[in-house]
Amino acid sequence: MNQSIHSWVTQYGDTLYRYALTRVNNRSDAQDLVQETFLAAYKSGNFEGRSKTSTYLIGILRHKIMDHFRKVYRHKQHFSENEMPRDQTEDDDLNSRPSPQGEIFDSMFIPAGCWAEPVADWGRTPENALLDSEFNQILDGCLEKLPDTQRSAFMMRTLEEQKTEDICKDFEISPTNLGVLLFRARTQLKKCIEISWFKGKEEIS
Amino acid sequence: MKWMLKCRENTLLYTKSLDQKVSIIQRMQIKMHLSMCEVCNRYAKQLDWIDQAFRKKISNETLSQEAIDHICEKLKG
Repeated sequence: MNQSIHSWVTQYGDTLYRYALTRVNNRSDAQDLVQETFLAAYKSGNFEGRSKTSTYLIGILRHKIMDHFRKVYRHKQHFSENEMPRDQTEDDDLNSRPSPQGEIFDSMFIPAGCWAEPVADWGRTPENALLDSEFNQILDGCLEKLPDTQRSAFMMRTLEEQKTEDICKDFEISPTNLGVLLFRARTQLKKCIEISWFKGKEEIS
Repeated sequence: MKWMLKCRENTLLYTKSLDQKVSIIQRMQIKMHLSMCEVCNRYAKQLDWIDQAFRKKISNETLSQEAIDHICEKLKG
């Protein structure tokens, strides 16, 4: 029994932990949420059966996360209203203006549809940059600067098992609006990485 | 049906394709545009690279052995 508990926790622990991290952005809170999830699943019995599947466990975790936010922001909504993109309609006409991606996107192009400014050349993208701890700190720093909603939505996209539809459900937004959030997140990350890393390297060399 | 997208159209479609399904035709339109447009190609590669970097980052996050042991202890009650 002890052995099977251990392998159960080992098998699904990391998946749950990463999911929780994308939402709460705090390792110790994430760890607590994972623990609560396992406890709840275990207490509901039947852990040999259905509670072994990660879908079931993530379902519990999602509820735990909601409770967590209710506690943290007792009177405040988890995501501030103005952070959410206004309701957009799905529009496949690529020429429509303004674009569903919003002002930031539109300002990147001149009316003729060409780039307003050239895209900065990063030079040769350092393949091993990710092993560099300084670079990892920059990534962390850039991520921290994002508004909560954007950070969370973007990080959830980095989880392999998270489909776009699931994220839309969690955030209660349409795929188009999720697209807007993700576009903003990626644009800001790109800008931040360019400023903190690539420009810095240029000056040094 | 036009084949050659403008940079703006291509970028709109490309960013959409990162998170949502786009049609096969749209996929081909993107591919064609990227093969001919250096600026859009650069932009697309940079976005891909950012996604990859953060994907790698989160995959490095694991529960510590202490945390796993702690959870197991709690479960055994």
